[in-house]
Amino acid sequence: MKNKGLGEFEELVLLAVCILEGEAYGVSVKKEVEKHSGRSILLGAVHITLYRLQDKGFLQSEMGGNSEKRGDRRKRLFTITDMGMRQLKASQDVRSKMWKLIPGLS
Amino acid sequence: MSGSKNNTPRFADWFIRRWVRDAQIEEFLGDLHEVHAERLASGAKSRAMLMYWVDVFHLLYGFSSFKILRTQNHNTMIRYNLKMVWRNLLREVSYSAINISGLSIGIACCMILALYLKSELTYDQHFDKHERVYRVANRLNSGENSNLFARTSYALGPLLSTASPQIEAYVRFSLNNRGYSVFEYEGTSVRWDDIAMTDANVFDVFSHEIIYGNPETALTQPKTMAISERFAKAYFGNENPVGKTIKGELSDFMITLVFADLPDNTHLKYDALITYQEMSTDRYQPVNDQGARWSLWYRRSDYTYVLMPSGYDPADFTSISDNFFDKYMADHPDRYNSTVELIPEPLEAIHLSSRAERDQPHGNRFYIAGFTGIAIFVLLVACINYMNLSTARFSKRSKSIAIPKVLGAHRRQLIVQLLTESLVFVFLALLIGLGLTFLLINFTALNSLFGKSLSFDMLLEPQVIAIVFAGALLMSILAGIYPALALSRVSMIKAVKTKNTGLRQGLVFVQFLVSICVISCTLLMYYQMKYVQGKSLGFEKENKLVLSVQGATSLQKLPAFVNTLRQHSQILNTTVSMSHLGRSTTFEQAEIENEEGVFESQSYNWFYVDEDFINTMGIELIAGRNFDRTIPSDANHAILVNETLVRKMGWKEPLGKRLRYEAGEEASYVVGVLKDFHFQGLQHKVESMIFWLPFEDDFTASFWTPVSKRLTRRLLTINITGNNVPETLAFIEKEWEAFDRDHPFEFQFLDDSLNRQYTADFNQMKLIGIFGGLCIFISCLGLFGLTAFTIEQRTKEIGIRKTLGANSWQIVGLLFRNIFIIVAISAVVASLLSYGIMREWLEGFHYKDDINVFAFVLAALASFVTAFVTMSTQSYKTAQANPVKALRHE
Repeated sequence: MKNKGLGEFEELVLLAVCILEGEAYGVSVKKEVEKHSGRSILLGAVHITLYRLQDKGFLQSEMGGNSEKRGDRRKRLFTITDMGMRQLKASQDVRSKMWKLIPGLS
Repeated sequence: MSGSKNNTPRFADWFIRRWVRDAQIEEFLGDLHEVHAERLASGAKSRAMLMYWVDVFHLLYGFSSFKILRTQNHNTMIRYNLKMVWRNLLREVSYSAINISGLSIGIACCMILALYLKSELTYDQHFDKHERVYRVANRLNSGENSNLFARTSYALGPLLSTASPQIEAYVRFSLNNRGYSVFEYEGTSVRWDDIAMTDANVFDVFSHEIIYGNPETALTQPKTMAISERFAKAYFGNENPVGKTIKGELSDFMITLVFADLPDNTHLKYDALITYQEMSTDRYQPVNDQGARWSLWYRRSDYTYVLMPSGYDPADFTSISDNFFDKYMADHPDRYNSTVELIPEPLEAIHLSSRAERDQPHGNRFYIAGFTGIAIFVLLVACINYMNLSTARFSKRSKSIAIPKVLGAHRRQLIVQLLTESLVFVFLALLIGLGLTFLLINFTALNSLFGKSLSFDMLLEPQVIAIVFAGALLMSILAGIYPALALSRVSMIKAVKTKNTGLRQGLVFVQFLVSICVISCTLLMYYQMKYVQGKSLGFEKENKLVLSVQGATSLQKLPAFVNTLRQHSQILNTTVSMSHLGRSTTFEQAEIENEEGVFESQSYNWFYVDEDFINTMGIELIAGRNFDRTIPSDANHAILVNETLVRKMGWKEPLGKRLRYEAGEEASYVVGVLKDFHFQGLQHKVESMIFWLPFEDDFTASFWTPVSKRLTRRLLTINITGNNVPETLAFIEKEWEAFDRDHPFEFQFLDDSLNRQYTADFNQMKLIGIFGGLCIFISCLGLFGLTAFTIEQRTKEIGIRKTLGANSWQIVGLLFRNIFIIVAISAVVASLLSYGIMREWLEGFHYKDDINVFAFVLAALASFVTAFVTMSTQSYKTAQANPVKALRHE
């Protein structure tokens, strides 16, 4: 469990879910990631990642929040789990530690 | 419900519903629609649609319940599958080789033909404004005669654009002015064939890729010249030549611009453009005067292009044409009741659609259609064979497929394995095919056969690559899916056994149909070419040397030169004419007396030929006499006519019939009738001709300007014996050097230049022959596959027959019987088909050979023999084998 690791894109998606705080579903996550990373992302990729993260236990989800725009269909809203939060922090730690070790950058 | 409101592609939605787990459908469709709505709001509809599909496929890929796409342990499976493919490939090397080579040849053929077609079909489309540019051709209708000419008068462009405000711009090109052909710079002297004079706005109407210089001002000054990169390289290497002065035969020119060499597929080719101001002022800027009006009727020297507003309908050009005729041409005294129509030819259609005379060489639609057909068929046939052979191959391997299955492999694992194999084979074939294409284009004479410079780079465009890869993918799935599905069934033995041979035989039928068709067409084309070359032209084309004599100084010395030549024992005769026979015919109208003595308006071709012409050329005089210089009136008033004119006029007694340009003038009269001779290719029929004795050139007359003196030209045709030709040539060359120091000694043999008219047809014939051979080859591969398959299926039957006493040849005969019937039927159908095709092709020739039935017999026979050889070698082996083995089979 410990060494599941996070891919770069997975990390971005996870962060986007955190930022969106309960409003995270396929389209909103896609937009959030696009907004911050500046690259365009396929909807399918977001879905695949969201489900993979859920399988790994980093996310949990429930259905809710339908709107006219979606033809009265509900969304699947994702929230981060404790484990997901830990994993995110862990990868953040690794990075900051390593950053500090780069000579001439402090 | 809102699906339709949102305009989402319903089909895509159906895909999702069909193949995605129910639990996820709601959220996915919701997300898809939301994104789609935003895309629609922000931009193009087509893009939104496309992206919708992309998303759908992406989701399908990720979440599909169709499990083929998802195997758990990907890496291991892929490695295992590839290993299996490799082992199978090695185990049946010959099979694999045949399979792959057939397909790669098909692919290579298709690629090469695609390159050719692309070049043919995109003629002149590199010009930015090609959709708005039209060439104005003119049709002269006089009586029953109607001729469409590509070239028009120099006055047409300026007058037409003044008369019709819709015309935004006009550009004239005047080509083939031999006086401009040799250019010299610092000791380098090169002859160029394609030099044109043109208007200054040429770079505005026809976009060129400019390397040096300013296109807006390049040709606005007198004595300026724009040159191609090739032209520049010949004199200046890689230097920028703008501002330099180059010496032409007529004058010096300043180079003001360098443009990139024109692409191959442009109908009007030139290496240098000279400002139109080199023409005399009345040609450069003609006004509506007598000279200009006369030229509209009688001058056909320039190509005229007009730029129309975007969205212009060429059908509206009729009114422009009618107005113009009424305004400038209708009242001309010498019109002899003729009319002229101006016909707009869209720039990009000139190459393939124009029927105009006096034009650059046109493309031939027949070959376009033929090559497209062949390309499609070769690829189709190759694919079909590939499928056939693979199925046969796979069914041979039923055991190695059954065992994993018994051991518990899933059906989809088997399908994936077989598909992988198919994929690997097709891509291998694709690579080899591409390699083959590359080699053929770069290292064989293919390009000269096509008469083009095809380049492999044309295939390296992203769209082309995408299409090729998509095609290969599709092909491997098509070829693999049937055996894959059939063999992976529960009871696969049954599945393999109940395969319908009807389909297979149908495929063989199509293959032989195409092959026999192509072969018999090639043969018939060959017969026609032989016929054309062997047919008597009505004059002797052998041993004729044609020299071009240019410039007044040389022409004045010409009689002396001719006299010297005639002293030589190997020179039989010489004649001087104004133009090449077969090239640049001159068309005019006059009033000719008919049988009843009434003058009626007629049009005809006319030539100036001297009194030695008919003797030198070996033309038969069937009535009357030749020109005679000792009869004074012959110089101006004697004419010779050909038989066609006699027939056209309905003359019973042609001698003495009169011709005049206008009532009241002294008429000319017919002194002799010549037997018809073919001065043009046999594509054309003989037209009515009139011959005049040329005036003695008096270069002191006032109308000879220095320019026209230098440019004037005559042709000297020398009839030699054909014995000791090199010595004769050396003699003529030696005399030439004393006679004219300014021009190099250049000559042509008349028969060579006549045969050149058929070069294009000859090359196409060769190409079709090559592709015909390939068709047969690929068909044989198909037959090979079919035989393999049949034998595989009938092994037991063969064994039983042998035990009961049949010998090997009886068995071969048994197996061949079916094929024989198929080939026979396809031979009949193919013969009918190619008969129709060839009748169409022969329409292009006015003089044609009969369609020789022998060609069909030969083609059918050839296919029978190849079919039999292919089949018998394979089946004989099986038939020879020990029947016990056959009985133990399965």
